[in-house]
Amino acid sequence: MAVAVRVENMEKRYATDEGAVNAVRGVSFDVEDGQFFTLLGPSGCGKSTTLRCIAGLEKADGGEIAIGDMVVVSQSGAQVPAHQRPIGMVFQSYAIWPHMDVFDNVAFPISRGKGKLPKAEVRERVLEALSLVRLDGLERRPAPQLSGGQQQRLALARALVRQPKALLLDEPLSNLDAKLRDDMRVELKTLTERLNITTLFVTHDQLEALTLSDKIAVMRDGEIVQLGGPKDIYDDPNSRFTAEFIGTTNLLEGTVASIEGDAMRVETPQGALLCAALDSLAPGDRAAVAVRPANIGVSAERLDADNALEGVVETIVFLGDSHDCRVNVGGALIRAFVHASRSVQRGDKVYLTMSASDCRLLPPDAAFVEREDGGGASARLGGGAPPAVA
Amino acid sequence: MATAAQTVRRFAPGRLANLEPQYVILVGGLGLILALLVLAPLAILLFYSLWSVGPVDDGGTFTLENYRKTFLAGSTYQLLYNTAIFGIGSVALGLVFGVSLAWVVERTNAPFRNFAFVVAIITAGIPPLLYAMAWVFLLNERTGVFNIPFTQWLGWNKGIFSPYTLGTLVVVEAFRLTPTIFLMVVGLFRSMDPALEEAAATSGADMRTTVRRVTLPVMLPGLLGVIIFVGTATIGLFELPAILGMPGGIHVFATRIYLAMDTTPRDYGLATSLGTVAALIGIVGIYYYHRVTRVQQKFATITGKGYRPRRIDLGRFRKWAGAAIIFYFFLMVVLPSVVLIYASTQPFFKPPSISAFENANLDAYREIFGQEGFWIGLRNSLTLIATVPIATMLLSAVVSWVVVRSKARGRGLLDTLAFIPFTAPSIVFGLAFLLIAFWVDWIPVYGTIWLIVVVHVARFLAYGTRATNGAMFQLHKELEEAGSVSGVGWLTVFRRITLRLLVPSLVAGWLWVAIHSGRELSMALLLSTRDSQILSLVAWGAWENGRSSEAAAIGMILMVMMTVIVILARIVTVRLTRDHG
Repeated sequence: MAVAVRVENMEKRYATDEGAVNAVRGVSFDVEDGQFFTLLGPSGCGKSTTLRCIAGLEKADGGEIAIGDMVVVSQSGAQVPAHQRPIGMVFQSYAIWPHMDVFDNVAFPISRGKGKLPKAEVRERVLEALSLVRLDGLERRPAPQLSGGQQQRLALARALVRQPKALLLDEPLSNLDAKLRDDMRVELKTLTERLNITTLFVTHDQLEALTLSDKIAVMRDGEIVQLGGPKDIYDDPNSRFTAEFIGTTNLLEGTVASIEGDAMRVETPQGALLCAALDSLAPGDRAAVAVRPANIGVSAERLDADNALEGVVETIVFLGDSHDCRVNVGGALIRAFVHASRSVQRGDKVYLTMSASDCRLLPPDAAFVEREDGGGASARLGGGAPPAVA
Repeated sequence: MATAAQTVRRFAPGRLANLEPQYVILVGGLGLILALLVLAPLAILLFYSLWSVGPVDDGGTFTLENYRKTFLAGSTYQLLYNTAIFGIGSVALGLVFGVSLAWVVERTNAPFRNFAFVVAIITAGIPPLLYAMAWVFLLNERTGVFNIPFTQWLGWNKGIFSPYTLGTLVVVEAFRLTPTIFLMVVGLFRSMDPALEEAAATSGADMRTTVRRVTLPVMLPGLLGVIIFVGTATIGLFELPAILGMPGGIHVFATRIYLAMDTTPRDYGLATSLGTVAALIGIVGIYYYHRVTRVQQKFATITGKGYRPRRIDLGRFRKWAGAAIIFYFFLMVVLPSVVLIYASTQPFFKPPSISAFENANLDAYREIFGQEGFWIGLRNSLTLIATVPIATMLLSAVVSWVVVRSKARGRGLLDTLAFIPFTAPSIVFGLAFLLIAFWVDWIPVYGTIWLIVVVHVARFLAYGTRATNGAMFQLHKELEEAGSVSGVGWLTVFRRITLRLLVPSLVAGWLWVAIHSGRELSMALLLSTRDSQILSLVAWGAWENGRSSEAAAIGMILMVMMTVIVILARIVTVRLTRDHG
């Protein structure tokens, strides 16, 4: 497949009061034609900066960026200005021009400048773009009179009307309320698939990334930490950061004790766990075990199986279709989801089971710093420093 | 990749690679314009303060003689004392009036609140020259309205009030500042989140504690900004000290400089050295203004949102608060206005009486309409109003765009440059441009209205850029970025999106500049010749020559002009907001 957007070793530095900040550090990726590519990460990870460098709204300080066969940022530092790049962009604030009506907003990209088209064609293209986003009949409505969802769709029509080589979306869903966001997500997915347009999407919402993307780049501190399909990233996080950022994960720290076939036994303060082997680890290495709460079985009776941990239910939160339980195992809290039909009480003694294939081993991550927002996506275990390896 | 290579080759590599040529011209050109408008006058002022002869004489050497002479004279220290008393006294008194009025109007349920507003907006536009004249009519020892009880009822030779004392000067200036301070402080009140006060109340603080521990500290940076703003303007003011101070020999910076330039031969040494000192004082004031307003941004009490806090029920004091509002404006607005209208109908000013009303006529108006000078002044004033505001606001919009939006090097310098004219008293600015006009006498602007147009634009740029900077900050930058990624060059984006969205602020700024340019006296004072005089100067000339009823009549015409402008601007604003609610 042809590459629609190529980013190579891109660098971006900002001068701040505290000195220069490396916002983006040597990011490289290829987006194939028609692909939905997502840059995912917490705020401040450099994902928006990367997108804005591709758009030409920020100047990249190094590396090369090409859109289609146009090199827009070259190694020599030459840059094509934003308005000469074959792109369409939707902003977080939508940036709908309040002094124009719906039609004029959409017509703007093709009725001025280099992309100027004859009047009749402008009309045809604008109406086509509006019907694509289901805003037919609203052409003469003043833009500020649109609802949030309509403004969002208008911004999309405006970005698409030029028939760009790449559609850039900067957190376009984050300003919508929850219900509307779900609808728009589906609509966005359908639309980009139908048009088969190359899309670069920036979000901090892992659910949006997982549901929309063909490929995801997980970013942290200006670097891509993992690049892959949504399923790869969800099932096979290659770092504690990814494991914690995508979905909800329990992390248990321990030491690899032995290799048993294609599994490894890991000693943790909570008990021994049999995990899917990781080639880079050898007995004696420190490691973390990641288990999704949904993959943990909770039962009242002791089961004679591998990976059974005994604990006491400490808190229960009713989520509607399930209970979100935090089970105290040897002083650490492990999250597990129990079906709503089961009755679980605070203080119950329970046994947690998990299959070896659901226990993912992660290499020790020296650079890992605990996330400060404490968003509750993960339950850290062990607390403090991991036990020293003998 | 042949196409790619071609695409890239069109842009020269290097640091400027991303800059379109118009962009470089724009920033460079702006820098040059501002340097010519702002730095050149100050530089030439400083130069002549250090030069042994004036601009019309040949030869000369560098010398400190001017400063030595200025600071050896005892009158200079008297002048510094007067200026300090005038500035500090009137600002302090104005704050008492303005802040208490703002509190009553914004935070209590006193009656006549909206009335207070309308009146404040109208009075903030009264030309200081007229205001001073009105108080002479009111306070004149023999004929003053306030002295009627003493002169007519008690039969005294003269009353207890006098218009020509430092005390009167302070009080009248405080009255004049009150509506301005009131409007600025109301802005501060409105931009403060009432939740801050409510949080104090729910933490168990009573009203007094809340005001003392929360309201005032939060508003303090904003209040300091107001103080420095009106204080700097007052220290540089010419009109009030000229009319109320000079007859009694009370001089401040502006009047002393005027006098030095009004004698023959002109005392350039005194004028330039005093002007330089006044400009330096202004620069110090502005430095603190900048620092204080930066702190204010840190406090983030300004959110752009208008809050409507809960009003305090004054109970039985409500009536008294309403009466105070009425008294305030009767004293500060109604009396001066009425006395001016009255004075313009009297051949010689007499206290109001039945015979005086019987003798009222429009002779003064007939007289001025018969003078050629009046028509020249009117034409020139209209030229100012037609050109200065629009030029100032367009230049301000471009400067603000570069300062707020671009990442151009030196944009902070551009901002500072645009603000510097605010620092020097108007008359000093006029003096500096007079020196320039002599210096570059091959440019035939001296003696034309265009020289005054340029001086006004340079001066009002300081106000214009504050308005457009604020508006530009409010304008979400993604609105412009959306234009760029639509394949449209920045010039089109600036014209079609940025400028278009700034229109409400541009109209507001236009109005402000139009009113101030139309009534401004002191900049033109030293620059005008017979053919380039303006209405305010014609009024000043009539007053100086003792033709007070003519001066009042011209003042009334000026007021009518200003009112028409305000109404026109209001209509435009209403149209705009209706179209793009």
